[in-house]
Amino acid sequence: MPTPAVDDRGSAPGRDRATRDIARVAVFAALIAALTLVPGLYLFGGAVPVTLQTLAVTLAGVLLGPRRGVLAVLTYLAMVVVGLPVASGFRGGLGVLAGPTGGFLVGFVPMVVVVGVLAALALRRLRGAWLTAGLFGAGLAGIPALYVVGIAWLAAVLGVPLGTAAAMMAPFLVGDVAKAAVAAVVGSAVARALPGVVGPGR
Amino acid sequence: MGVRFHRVGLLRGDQVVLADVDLELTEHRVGIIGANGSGKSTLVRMINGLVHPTTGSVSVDGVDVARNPGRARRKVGFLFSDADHQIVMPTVREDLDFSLRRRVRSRSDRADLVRRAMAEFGLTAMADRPCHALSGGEKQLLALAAVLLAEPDVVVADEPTTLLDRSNARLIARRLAGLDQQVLLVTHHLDLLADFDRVIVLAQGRVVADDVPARAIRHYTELVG
Amino acid sequence: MTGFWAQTTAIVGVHHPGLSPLHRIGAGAKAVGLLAAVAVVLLVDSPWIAAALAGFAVLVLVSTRVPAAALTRPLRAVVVMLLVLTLVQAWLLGWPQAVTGSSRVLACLALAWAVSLTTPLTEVLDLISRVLRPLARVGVDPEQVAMTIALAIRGVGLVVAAVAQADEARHARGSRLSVRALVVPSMVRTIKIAEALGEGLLARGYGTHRER
Repeated sequence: MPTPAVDDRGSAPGRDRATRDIARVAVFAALIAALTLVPGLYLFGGAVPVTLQTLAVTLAGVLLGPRRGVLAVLTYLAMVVVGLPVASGFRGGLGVLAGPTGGFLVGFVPMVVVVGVLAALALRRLRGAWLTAGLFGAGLAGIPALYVVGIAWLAAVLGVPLGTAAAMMAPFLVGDVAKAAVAAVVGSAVARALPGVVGPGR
Repeated sequence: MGVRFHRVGLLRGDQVVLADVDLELTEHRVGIIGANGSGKSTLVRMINGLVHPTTGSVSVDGVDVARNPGRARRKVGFLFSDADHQIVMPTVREDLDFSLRRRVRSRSDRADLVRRAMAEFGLTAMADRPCHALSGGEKQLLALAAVLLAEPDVVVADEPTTLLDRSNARLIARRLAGLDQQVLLVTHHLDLLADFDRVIVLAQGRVVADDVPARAIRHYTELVG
Repeated sequence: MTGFWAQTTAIVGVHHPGLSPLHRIGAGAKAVGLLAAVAVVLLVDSPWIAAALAGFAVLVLVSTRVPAAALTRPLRAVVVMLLVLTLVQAWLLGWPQAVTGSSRVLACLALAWAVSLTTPLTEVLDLISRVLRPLARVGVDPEQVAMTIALAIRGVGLVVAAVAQADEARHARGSRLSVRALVVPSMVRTIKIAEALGEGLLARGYGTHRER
């Protein structure tokens, strides 16, 4: 494992990093759960609630990088599967994944990879306003990765054509673009507040 | 035996966090005091390898912390000021069980030990409650009970009473005072140190006094004015 | 903690102790049963059978004898979702299909719910590490996976508290609700919690057992 974490500068033994990573992954999985449960907008009365969930997933990609970001998403999905009511609307269990919106949970995996890889690149190369712009781009790139899986899943479960399913999801696009912008502002501000803690390989 | 700091120094960038700390702590009760930023938290975090010195070395009962952090950590029980940071399982019972997982194989033996610890620390009524629902005092009691279940040789407590109200602070202090183990206590509550065997005063990363409590505390109060 | 923050933290620990038949079955058996039941439900095409299965699943849920108060909030969300789902499907595909689809979702949800209400988390985590054991050969540490999930559950309360504290600090400063006033400080607090929990794990001897 590369570069020591800031807090134990001196001679950080690599084996402690694995344990510190567990804590980061777990806390970001908890963040996804927490922001899912914060009351949001309920379009169609709740069929696909608009929550801050995708914001949390994008932030996991930006702040943890692709590898730990994926682990955080998988941990969150495991919490849902295990039956904890941490999916939107306080639902939980395998039934949520099997349901029509399950693809929008599974789609977090490709989403966080795309966001994480691009954000890591931006954090390494860019500063200031350019960093914010770069992180916004990374967040935007994650949206199609999520929608492809989510819409295909929705169409399959409801038995409707892809186009119809895509049309049903169109209203959510505005919110997700806004959330990518928020994640970009937050990501660059946090990178400034906690230099050396945020980003890939940290 | 005891905790040994051998000419310990720590630099962060060009900032000196600790400089030439050379101590052999073998007394039963040792207090460490100093203003915020004097380096006392960093110093005690070196005892279980959460922070590593840039120069010098630290050992616990002769075990070098840098070379053998696992063995050193098993010897050291650490109490943070915010108990929330060391409670790692969702419920009280599970968190206590976590301390025993490696040491005790049998599940029923573990359950017995956990039950006994909960009875001793007055946690039985909240056994299956989520940890975040506990009060600050209850959380610190849980943290201490979990530390003791791991049977450490030394208990290091980093301002364990700072976030508690007076009665809970006294409760935790009394528990610490009653331990058989060696206790190293970092604190701003100077009255807790009256019966201690030795008190170290840190200022700007250096040991500026090392004495019996009364004299060390006098030195410290003159220092901070 | 105040208001909806406090409510949000109430989710952790969905297990309700009890003596119902489902409580007495092992976690492994329940998981296998659940998977089999979900598979059957998804294969059914007849609206009548699907509705009957959904009814049966609800009976299974009721048989856990978990107090209704514990179910009301999630139930409200589920009912709203099912209503909308049924209407959308009825409009797009016709009523028989709508009944089949919604019954499937209801059956899966009710069964999964019944399992999680009757299974203590420790048993679930043990089950996960048992199921993942074959993956140890490809570098997955099953115990580490269970630990991460447990720590994440513990973390929900901490993260919610961090957001609530950031919100209180914002109120105290008199700042308006904004990304910079709330989300940024919340994230900084969240990351600090992650760092502190990492130290807590290390201090409690986690992750150092390989060297002896």
